Amino acid sequence: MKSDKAVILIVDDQPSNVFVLEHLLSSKDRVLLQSSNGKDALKIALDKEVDLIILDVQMPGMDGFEVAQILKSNRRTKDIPIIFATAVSKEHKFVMKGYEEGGVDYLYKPLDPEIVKAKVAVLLKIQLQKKELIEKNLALQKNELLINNSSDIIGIIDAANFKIEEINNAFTSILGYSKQEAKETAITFFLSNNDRVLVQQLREQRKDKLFFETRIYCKDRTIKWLQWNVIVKYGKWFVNARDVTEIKEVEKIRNHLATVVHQSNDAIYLHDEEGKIISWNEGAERMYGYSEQEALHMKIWNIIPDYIHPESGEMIMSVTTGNKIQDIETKRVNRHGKLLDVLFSASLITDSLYGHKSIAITERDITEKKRAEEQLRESEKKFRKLFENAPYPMWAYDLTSLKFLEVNETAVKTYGYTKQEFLAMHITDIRPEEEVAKLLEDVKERKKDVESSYGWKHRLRNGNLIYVEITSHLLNYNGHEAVLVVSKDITERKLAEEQIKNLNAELQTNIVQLETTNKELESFSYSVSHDLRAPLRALSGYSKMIEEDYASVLDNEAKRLLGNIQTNAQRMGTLIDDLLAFSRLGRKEVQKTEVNMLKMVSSILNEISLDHKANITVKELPQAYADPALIYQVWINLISNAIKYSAKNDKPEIEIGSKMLDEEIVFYVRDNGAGFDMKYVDKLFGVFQRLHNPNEFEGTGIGLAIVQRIITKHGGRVWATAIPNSGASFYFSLTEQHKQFKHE
Amino acid sequence: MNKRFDILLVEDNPSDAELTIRALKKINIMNSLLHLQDGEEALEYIFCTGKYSARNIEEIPKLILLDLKMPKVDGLEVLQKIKSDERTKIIPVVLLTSSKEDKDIIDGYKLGVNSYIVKPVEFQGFIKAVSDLGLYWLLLNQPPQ
Repeated sequence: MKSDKAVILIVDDQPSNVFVLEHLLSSKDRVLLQSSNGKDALKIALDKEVDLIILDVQMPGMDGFEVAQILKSNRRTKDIPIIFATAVSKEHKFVMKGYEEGGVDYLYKPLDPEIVKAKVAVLLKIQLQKKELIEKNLALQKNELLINNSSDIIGIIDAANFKIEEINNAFTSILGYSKQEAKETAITFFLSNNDRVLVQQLREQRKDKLFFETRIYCKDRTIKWLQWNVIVKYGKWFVNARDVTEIKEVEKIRNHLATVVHQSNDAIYLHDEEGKIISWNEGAERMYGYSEQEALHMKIWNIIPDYIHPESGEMIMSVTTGNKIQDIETKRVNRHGKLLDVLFSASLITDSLYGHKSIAITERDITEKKRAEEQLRESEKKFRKLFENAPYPMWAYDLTSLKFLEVNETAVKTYGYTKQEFLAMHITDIRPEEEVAKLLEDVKERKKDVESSYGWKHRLRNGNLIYVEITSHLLNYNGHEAVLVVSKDITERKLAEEQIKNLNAELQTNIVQLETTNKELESFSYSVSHDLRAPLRALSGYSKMIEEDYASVLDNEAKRLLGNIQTNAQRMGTLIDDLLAFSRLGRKEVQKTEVNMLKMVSSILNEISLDHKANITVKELPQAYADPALIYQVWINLISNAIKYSAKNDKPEIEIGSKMLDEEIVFYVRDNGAGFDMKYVDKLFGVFQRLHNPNEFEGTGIGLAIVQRIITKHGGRVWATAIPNSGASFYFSLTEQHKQFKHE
Repeated sequence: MNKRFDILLVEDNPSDAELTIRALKKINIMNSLLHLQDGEEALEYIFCTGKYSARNIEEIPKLILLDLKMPKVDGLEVLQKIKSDERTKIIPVVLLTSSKEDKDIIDGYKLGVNSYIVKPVEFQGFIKAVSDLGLYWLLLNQPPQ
């Protein structure tokens, strides 16, 4: 509608009729247009928006019906109501034709003013209402289009039960449910439990407007995020819900990323073009010792050592112009003034909204790593020095190609090859052929880190072979799996070993020979005991027989001489017995056990108590660990010696006892008898060695020899001290016995 | 040959044999002693073989004095044969030896010797040892019948 005024077109060829009608219908809310023929009328109806046409039926040229027919055939004009005014055609057929042409009413001439007024008023009203309806309908259609075309969900929900009353297409396109499925279903049905509670709580707040987010189940059971905008009115929720799932996802990822950044061990921070720090992560807190709070009031110059401020400034400039910096090693300083080695990366971030520039920094603390590298270099240097100056030949060879990789000076000197020659050779080249197979096998099986082997042979440049002891270990040499070898020339040792081996073999032969000799000796002593004694018995026996059978014819001198023969034969017998006893000792195994020395000595003294007149004192005697039979022999010999050699004293005194001497228990037998001259002490313990004349003291000189042999066999020692005619002391120790007592 | 002997002396050394016989004579138990020169002859006599095949094995001597060391068959071997035969093992056997070697004595006892005597060089001792032995075995010890 161009104006609020109703437009009425009056078509009549009679100006008087027009005049009358204008007069009748004129009103301030109407515009009256007039036309005197059908042609003009059609023109006006097409040009102007006409609300009502009063059309004279009888007109020259095109009559009223013709005009109406044309009007009805045009889309723009077909809805315009027409009132036919006629004077003539009052017949029924005309009236019907009028209605057929789409006219609405008839006025009959002469016109009744009141009827005309009333009819026009009613028709106009209807027409205006109709127009209004059409317009409203159009508006509604537009709205529906807008609503359904919206990518947001738009709808009306009953606040009382959350039932969906109206909903647009977006509900289907976003969530997958059809409108039928949505309508009359409570929106809460689609929500998760938590969100159901949320919207119920929101309803209770009784606000006019609500703004919230929920998750919602789609028909395919996926979950989407909706952002709700609700106006509450008439007990209804007029809702607009936007799918923010993607935004949420992005937000989630952004949150994750932020956490990752925040927790990173690297220092990650932002600063603006002036160097003011605008973000500061935990890694930075740890690395520099400044909290986020502190850092946000700092500029980067606080953590850059003074001496590199200029170059750092240039670097920032460069980044500001869009250059990226990746992993540059530089220095930083922490809160405590400690210099750090860092790996520095920087790039520019430009705010898309306002164009603010900030610089994103990542710094990794490599101080420790640098130090470790430095140490490694240092130790490599030391190792190299050690390698070069080692007194032993050393080299490294490639475990795969077996080529020499490195060789030291001593190796060059020892083996005679120059370094160049070595480096052109393989490890197999210095091995004698027969060892190469074993070497290759060893290399193949090589697993242990460190290995030592012994007795390999290496060939020198001059062709000589040397024996070596090898210590080798696996190492990575400039990316090669290699073996580091220390070689030690042990040729001399090896030769010495060979010698020892030979000597051992010789010794073995000697032992066998000795055993044979021993056996021979044994059978010798056996036959001595039989064969030598028989003639002695004959000598003694027959001289006795002469003495008995020819007693009457023998004078005293003859009898004395015969007596001497018998005495000497007897003496010879004793010597043979002693000799055999002594040689038996040599073969006897010592079988040690606990020996109660006091008991043993007491029993010996009991046995011989009647055969002497000596006063024998026994002092304390500890337990001993010895062969009882042999020790018994020692005591017998020492005690009977003491008795024998003190027998000529008026008051023979003998003392038997023990004492500690240098942590060693020593047993002794002391007498006050004949003693001996200490200059002959060396002969004292020899076999058949005597320091006294047989006329003075009888004996064969075997007793002390036996004592010495027994004590030596026990691992102890025996010795004597004496003063001629004042007495002698005999001492012996038993090492094992001493040990035994130390244990207790 | 058919004479029965109380004592059998097996001794290769004539001097020792003479001295032994003299020692036994001194105590008057010498009337029925047979001296055999070696182990082989002793076995022939005891088991009635060879030149003694006509002898009755059941006429056993009352005592055998057996020297240990003899040519051909030695004393221990003779002893072993005597002691392993049911007919002769009851005969008392005394080993005469000039050795004190433990091994010989132990071997003798293992084979069932009744006694042994080490021949002393000294004549008086020898006489005493032999006569004590002879008296004990001939007069005191009653062999099982």
